[in-house]
Amino acid sequence: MARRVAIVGIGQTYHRSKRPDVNIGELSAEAVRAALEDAEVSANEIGAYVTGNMELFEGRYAQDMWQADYIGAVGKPGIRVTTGGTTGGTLASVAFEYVASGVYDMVMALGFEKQSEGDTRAGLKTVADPLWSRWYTTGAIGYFASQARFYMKQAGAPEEAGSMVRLRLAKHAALNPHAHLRLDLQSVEQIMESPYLIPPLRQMDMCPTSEGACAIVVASEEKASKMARKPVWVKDWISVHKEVVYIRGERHSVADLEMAAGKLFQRNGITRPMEEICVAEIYGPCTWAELEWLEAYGFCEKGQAWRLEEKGQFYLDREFPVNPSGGVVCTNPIGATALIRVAEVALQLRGGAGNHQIARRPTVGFSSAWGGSGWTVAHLLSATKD
Amino acid sequence: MMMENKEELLQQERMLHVRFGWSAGPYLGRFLAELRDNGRLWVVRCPGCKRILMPPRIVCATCYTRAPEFPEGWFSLSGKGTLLDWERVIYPQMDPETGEIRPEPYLHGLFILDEGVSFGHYLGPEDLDEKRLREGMKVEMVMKAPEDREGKLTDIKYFRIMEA
Repeated sequence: MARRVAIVGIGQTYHRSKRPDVNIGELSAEAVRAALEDAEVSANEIGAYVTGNMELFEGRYAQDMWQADYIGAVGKPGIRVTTGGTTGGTLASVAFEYVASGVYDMVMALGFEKQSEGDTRAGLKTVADPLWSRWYTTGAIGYFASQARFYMKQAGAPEEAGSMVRLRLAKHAALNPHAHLRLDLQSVEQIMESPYLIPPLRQMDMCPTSEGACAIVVASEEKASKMARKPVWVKDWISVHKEVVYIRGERHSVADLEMAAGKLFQRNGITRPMEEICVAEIYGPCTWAELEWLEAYGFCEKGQAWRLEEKGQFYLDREFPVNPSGGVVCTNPIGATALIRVAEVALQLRGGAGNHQIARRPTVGFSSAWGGSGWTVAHLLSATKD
Repeated sequence: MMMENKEELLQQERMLHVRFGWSAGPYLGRFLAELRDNGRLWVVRCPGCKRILMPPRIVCATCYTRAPEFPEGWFSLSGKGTLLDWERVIYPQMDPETGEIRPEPYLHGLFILDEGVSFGHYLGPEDLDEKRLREGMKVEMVMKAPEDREGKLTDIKYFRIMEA
């Protein structure tokens, strides 16, 4: 029987577009030290390390080996996780599994990215099968432009809907000192002036390239109950792939998101997700993805997310806040991005998010990770053990 | 603290050229060879769930039944279909085949072929006016000249809008 697992330490760097002042090891150390300080433990107490980033972005093989010296991992077991966009989510899942299995009592999960050291767009193009679909890929921008177009058509959403999402995320990010883009955006009209990448996707709809790192300390129930910090309990987690190459007659499939959230909610007895879940940090690489995916996760009916956005329902002072951190559209150090989702939900659940703490007193939170073009990881966290 | 004085910081640049050689295997390999040599889209039907496997694969991804090797159970698609969606790419993109920036703008289409499988490719001809495009328009595959084909999906020149 798996053991109960809790998050007992959270750390992240201040995310920027470039961090030429540090190397990868130093950047990683910033997050690790912050997580250790937060957990009030020393590196000696960490039994194993799970680290990860995007496989091809910085051009280093066996990155975990290079990093070990900087993060307190020398002489310890561990593994590098590199599952693309989902990396940060998988990092959390693997750390949970390490502790739940009973093999380790305390594990550090660390995700980072230093995109300026390589070529993100070239790295992303290698995601597609080299003999089948790589020739025509337009990277994340092409994928999400087509997704945006599809959502507008399916949901009857106006082009302003994406900008409404960005306005909410900008307002949230402005309150989060760790967010990368903390722009003073005041109106939908202002965001609609942002240039197109591929219509209808605008520059301000899309996530930035960020550099930064995030780390969490995960502990067993026995350890967690003796720690200084109030533990945030892990309820459940899931990972789902969909068939990527073969698509029959579907312009745009969200089957992986639907399967992941559907199974996760079903086996945890969650029948009205938007009421029962108090806060969601979802992995939305663009504004339009947030809308479509809130529907895919089952938080609202198809075609309704933009209407709820229009009414301001996802702001952090409302009943169902979405991405109170500012989300991926404001901060995207890719290998850390999905781990930030988990960390931010944990911060909210223990009431420690500071200026971007949500108004509602949260009991259960949801975080998600997504990787192109059909891999979803999701987690349910709880403020209480039961 | 971030330091802005770059002179004190060392950042070194390298350009790497790396060779790759990907094996297509007998299923996708046959598809690509037929495309190059005969300008046809050859696919295989899954003996288990009867889906068309496009591209052809050794097993079906959903029922995991093994697909027979060419030619048993294989047939060629008509190369005709219906336009589902399209996008106008205006953002300069690296062509992963060459590493060069692709000329833009261009139109990329998504079609459902008459046999029921979806497929994406360029929309043509080159002077095609996007304003003419409507969902449901009939499209037809246009191949490059035989001497220009390389056993790649870009041996297809584009999908041509059939209606005036």
